Amino acid sequence: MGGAAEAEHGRARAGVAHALGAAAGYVPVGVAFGAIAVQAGMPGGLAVLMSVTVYAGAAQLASLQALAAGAHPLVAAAGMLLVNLRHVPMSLAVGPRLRRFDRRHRALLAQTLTDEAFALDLRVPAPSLPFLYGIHLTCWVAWVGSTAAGVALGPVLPATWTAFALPGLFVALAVEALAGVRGRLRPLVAGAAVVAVAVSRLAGGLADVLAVAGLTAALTAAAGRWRLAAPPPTAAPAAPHAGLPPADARADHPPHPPPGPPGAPRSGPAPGSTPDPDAPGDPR
Amino acid sequence: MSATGALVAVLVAAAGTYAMRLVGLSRTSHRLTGGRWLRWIPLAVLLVLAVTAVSTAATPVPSPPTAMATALVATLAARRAPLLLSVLAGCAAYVAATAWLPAAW
Repeated sequence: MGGAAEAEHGRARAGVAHALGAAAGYVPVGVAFGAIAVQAGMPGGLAVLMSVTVYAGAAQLASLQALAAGAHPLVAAAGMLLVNLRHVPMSLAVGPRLRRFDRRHRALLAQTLTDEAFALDLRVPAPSLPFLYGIHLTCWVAWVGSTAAGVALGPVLPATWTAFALPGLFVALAVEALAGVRGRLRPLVAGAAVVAVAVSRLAGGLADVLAVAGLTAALTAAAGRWRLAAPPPTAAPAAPHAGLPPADARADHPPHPPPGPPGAPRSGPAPGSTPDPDAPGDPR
Repeated sequence: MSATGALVAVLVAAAGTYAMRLVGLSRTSHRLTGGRWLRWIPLAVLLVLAVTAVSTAATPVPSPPTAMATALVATLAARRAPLLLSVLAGCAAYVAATAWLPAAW
């Protein structure tokens, strides 16, 4: 039993390590959100409560503008929900990986599903439950903790310092995600995103949802016509000293993640590089 | 800002967002998950969020400080720099560009 518990702790620690890059990326954004919230007149405790329960940076930052402008609370909430509609397809995409766990764990993991946790979840073919908890709770704690820090720093932090934190995070993640697209097609895909955003702005409040839907449709169609996805990374020979089959050859792993899941910014572990079934690649 | 109103907004948004996060994890959503389109949603979401975040309200064209910071972050991310380094460098570039570029830009 002790060995099993130790193995579970090890997997949880691997999940924490896997998520450290993303959690660190949350910090400037979380600090920015906390600081901007108190600068906009929101009580600090409410800003932290929003991070605990809503846990969606873009929506939270968008709501501050509406609330500060005196919008009706339900209008502000509707705006957050529109921004958060992307969680529906993300949940649908990650659902098959999580349905094998019981309802209690699914309920907890769902609450902590974010863009980054989603991308990290997809980078490991068959993640264990402790590994997933390690990822999700690390990100959640980083977000809530950095919000609290931002609440404390808000009165003294210049707003310009934090203004680019959220765009910077999204740009970095998007560039990473583009690694799942064949090299010469990446500028075209990025250009398609700009066009999708520009055109969808005509729809007002539903712009982001329509842009995602349109771009997804375009990418799906393009993938059917051209070889859009980048090929999976070249398999390195198994380390001779490991004494284990390559990770990809183990029964609980598919040969590779689906070819080039573009939301999973980096490839998985090099086959044979580690015996841990939850072993991530570069934990970014 | 009304604290009570903000609390209502937070609770409603939290409940709705949780429902969205939970929808795919139910055992009844199997039929929705087989499409090839699902593979491309993460990329589409991240690209749209990135373009929206760096663009101005009127057009998807960033301001000069934002464009400079975006270029730096994109370059660092493409070279696989750590995420935190990319974001912090972008923030620093934005602050510097905002301070030094002519206000007319």
